[in-house]
Order: sequence, then structure tokens, then C-alpha cells
Amino acid sequence: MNPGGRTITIPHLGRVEGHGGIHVKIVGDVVHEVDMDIFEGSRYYEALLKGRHFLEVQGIICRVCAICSASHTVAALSAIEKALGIEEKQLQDPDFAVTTYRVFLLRGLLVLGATIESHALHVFALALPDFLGFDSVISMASKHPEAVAFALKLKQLGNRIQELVGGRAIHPINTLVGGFGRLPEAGALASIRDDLRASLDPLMKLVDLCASLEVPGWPAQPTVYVALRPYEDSFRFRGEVICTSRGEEYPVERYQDVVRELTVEHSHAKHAALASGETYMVGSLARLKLWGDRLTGRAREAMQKLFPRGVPDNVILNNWAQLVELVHSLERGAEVCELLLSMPPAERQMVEYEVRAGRGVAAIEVPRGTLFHDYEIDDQGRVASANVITPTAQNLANVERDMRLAVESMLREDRQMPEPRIKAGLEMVARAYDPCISCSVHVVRVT
Amino acid sequence: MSAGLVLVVGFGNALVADDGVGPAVIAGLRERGLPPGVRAEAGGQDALRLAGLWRGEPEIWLVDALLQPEAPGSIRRLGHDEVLALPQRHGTAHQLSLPECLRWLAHGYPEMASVRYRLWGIAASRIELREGLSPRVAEAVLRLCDELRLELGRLAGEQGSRTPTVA
Repeated sequence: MNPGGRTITIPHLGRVEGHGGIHVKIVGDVVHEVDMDIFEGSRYYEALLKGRHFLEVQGIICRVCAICSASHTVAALSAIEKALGIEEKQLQDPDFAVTTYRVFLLRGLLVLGATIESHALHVFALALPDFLGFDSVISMASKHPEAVAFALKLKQLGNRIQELVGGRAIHPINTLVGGFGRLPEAGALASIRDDLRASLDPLMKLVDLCASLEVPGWPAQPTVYVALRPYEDSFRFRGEVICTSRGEEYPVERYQDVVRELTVEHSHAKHAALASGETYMVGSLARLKLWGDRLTGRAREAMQKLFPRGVPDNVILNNWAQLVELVHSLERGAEVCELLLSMPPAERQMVEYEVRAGRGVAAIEVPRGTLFHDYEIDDQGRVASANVITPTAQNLANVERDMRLAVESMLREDRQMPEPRIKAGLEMVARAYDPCISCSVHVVRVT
Repeated sequence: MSAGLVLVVGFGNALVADDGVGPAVIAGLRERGLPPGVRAEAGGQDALRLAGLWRGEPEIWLVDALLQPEAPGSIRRLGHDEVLALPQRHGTAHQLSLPECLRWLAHGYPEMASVRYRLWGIAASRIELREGLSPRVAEAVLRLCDELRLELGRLAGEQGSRTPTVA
């Protein structure tokens, strides 16, 4: 080994095009530097929103991410509605609250659809091939043809939910400030409900397959977990209180007291840490750590199969935590469809509101973790300021921390560990976080 | 399922400079009017969503931005086998490459296995977060809209298919 140390560089995160480069400097068996550079587009979108009318926000913000467009849409609409006082009105007027319950349920269904789409893709097309020793989901089809076909249909089911609720397959148009332009027809909702239920048995077979796989222990490290407390005493993806695994609680409006954004030299993206300076993790593993005991039904069964001794502090298991949430999303999605079907038919569901100046902050749990949207609107309805904090930005500092600790753990095992093994380990840690890297584009490379 | 002739899908994001060529071509084709049996749809940034857009057409024509060292605004045309032979690197941590998506679609939906793909790629000048195409790429979009419209017209058996407005 070079006495001055060795530097390991992974120009692009494994099998991932574009940004996502990892640089590690090791001296002896101590890791001196770990940098991961990603491209994180939400900053640009914030600038683009300033001065625009609040009604334009959704059409812009849904383009931040190919997979998370529905999640950004729901977060943005909730924040804008708070700024306009729609939520205040809801709390004061019971009739108004009844009117908006359907809107609340439909938005919840949209978030569940996005979660199904995203988790199905990440768990089965990106994580599982790694665990089973295939270089891609396509080569995995040679040995697991039914699982690969089912995974695509599951992802497509998530897309269909978003299309039904959002009004079209790409970029929702039906979701509006104050409600929905057109409500889904009963027949279409019933069909989605039936398909969600029918997907549970085949998904549980994949839970069994994953539960039989060995997960490496070297990435295991305790960390602080952060997630929203569900709005009711169940496992949910929406809430109004930010909770940490250390027992702290803050209303979402005070997110800046919890999340401190930092600019770092080596990255285009801002990093985040708790006010205490500690890094933290958001996402499926964090949600299961904090609220997994609220899971019921097949999701609880899946959790017990995948985490028989409780949820360990091992980021690689974020993949299996996503799988548990996938089961939950199917069950909860079917329940929400049932609730919507029990309501009197209506073509449209909109609440009336007046434009006023104000500020609104909303947070929701999206596939990769807690997403914050914060808007200030002037009395003409123009966006005076916007702040969007994505889960990937919050996780970045923890990704670097976990990569540092993982390399040190590997070097304790074997001081001369070959570079390819270290690289593979680093990539596995980074991919387990399911980072969102420049997915606001679609390009083809021919060389 | 009533199958038409061709589904044209333009991938990309109109807010990311030249990545917006796909939706720009779709808008241009719609302006020119589509022959019977042809649909044109923006595909966003996820090729797997083709499954939701497809309605049994035997051919899917794809339009996308191209990252290549050639001159910005140049148009590259790839046939079915060439599209499937493109490099298989993932688009992002949760986005597969185009050929992976097409192969997965054929596996998951056997009824899509016989679909023939063609791809028109426009070499991008800038892929960055800003609105609007760069001048050479914007010009290429017009050329490609005319080319595609002419070819679609011929395929649909239109008499005297329209003449390109831009040489």
C-alpha cells in the first residue's frame, strides 16, 4: 500500500449514468475523506417558481423528478393551501371538513400509487439483482421470469393509480389547489382496488424470497432516524409532526429548527444535519424504526418475516423496509378505494377560497423519505419564496458517514482488502439509500 | 384493443433545456395534424410508462435527446435492433436505460413483444435546468417534425403527403 494512502474513485454510482461520483481517501486503515457528488435539481425549481402565480406551481414542480412527480404535487398543494388558509377553514367548519375528506383520501391514494411505483422499481429492478447476483433485472428474468414480470405489473399498477387520480399518465393535471377537477369513476376505482388485492399474494411470495437472502452485516451502524408522525394511530405517509428516534418532536412549520441545510464544497447539492450537528436518515428504514409497530395485516406479516428480531441499524435493509411498505401500500390503497367507493358519487370536488398573502409549510413521507415544501405567497397570489428540501439532500451527509464507517469496517476485516470489493461495498451502501440523482431528464447515450 | 398504425412518444423535460426535444416534437406534430391511426404522446422521463401509453400499435416511434460528441442539432435515426443495442447503463439510481425498459416491457407484457421500435435522437447542446431549446436544437426539432409528419403521412397512405416547411 502507498504509505501516503490510497484514493478510491468511483466516477459514477454503479450502473447509474451521470452524476453520483464517490471519492474516498484512505490512509492506513483510516478513511480521511468521503465525498459523494450528486446533482440535485430542486434548487433550480425554487428559483423558477419565484414570481409565478401559485396556480402554476404544480405544473412546474411535478417535473423535478420522473418518479416522484405525484409526491411533489401533493406536498406543493398542501403547502399552498395552508398559505391560503384553506386548512384553517377546514378546522373551523365541520361541513367544509367533510367536503375536503374526499380530497384528502384521493391525495393519499396518489401518494400510495407513487410509492408502489417507486418501491417496485427500486426493490425488484435495482436491489434484488444485486442480492441474487445478476447484473440487471433483465438477466434476472432468466431464472425468475415470473417475479420479473410481476414486478413490472406492480410498477404499472402504481402508474395506473396516479393516472386515475392525477388525470393522465405523465404529470398530473387533475390535482388542483382546493381539490380535484374530475373525480375517478366508481368502476375504475373498483378495478384498481381489485388489482391491489390480487397483487398481495404474489408479492408475499417475493417477501419470502427476500427473507431467505443473506444481508451483509458490515454496513450496520446506529444512526438517528427522522420521520413524520402519522396523522392517525396507524402507519401512514402523511403527518404534521417531525419526530426523531431520539424522542424529539417538532411541528412541520418548525422544520428549519430540525433540518439545518449546509453547503459543501464537493457537491452540487446541499447537505443536511440536525441542529445538534448529527447526520440522520430519512426513508423507509426510518419510518419502520419509528412507526413499524403500527403496521397491520399482511404488512405486519411481511415485517415479521423480513425483520424477525426487530429492525436493525443496517442501511442495506432499507431495501427490505421498502418491500414492507410496498405490501402496506397495496393494502392501504385497497382500503382507500373502498372508502372512496362508499361516498356519494360526484363529478368534481373543489373548495372555495380567497387569495391572500401567507406562508405554508407541508411535509409528506415519499418513497425516499420526508419531503418538505415551503411557500410564501403575496396578496396577488404570486410566489414570493419557495423552499423544497428533498429526502436525498437530507440523506447525503448520512450516506457519506455510512460509507466512511463501512470502509473502516471492511478494512478492520482485511487491511489489504482489494479495491473492487471496497468499491462494490460503497456502491451497495449508496444504492440502498435509493438516491434521486438527476432523474428530471431523459436522454439516450449512444457511445 | 383497436390498434392504430403508430404511437409516437417524445421523452424528456421541457424545463431542462435540450432535454425538451421529445415534448417539443410531440407539440410540433400535433400542430401539423396527425394522420388517421397515429397518436403522439409526451412520455416524460420514464420509458417504462410506455406500457400505459400503448394501445396496440404495431410500431412505436421514439424521440429523445441524444448525448453524443457529434454536432448539436444533428439527427440520428436508429432502427429496432439498434435501439435495443444501445448502452445499458441506468438513467439514474431508480431509472433504467431505454433498452432495459423496452426488454422488460416485452417480458412483462408479452403482447408488446412484437412491437417494432424506431428512435430519432437529436444531439443536445445543453442539458441543464433552464427553459427553452438551444437555437440549433430548436431548428432540428422543426426539421424532424416535418420529416416525421411526411413519413407518417406516407405510412397512413395519405395522398400527396405534406411538403416539409423547412429544408
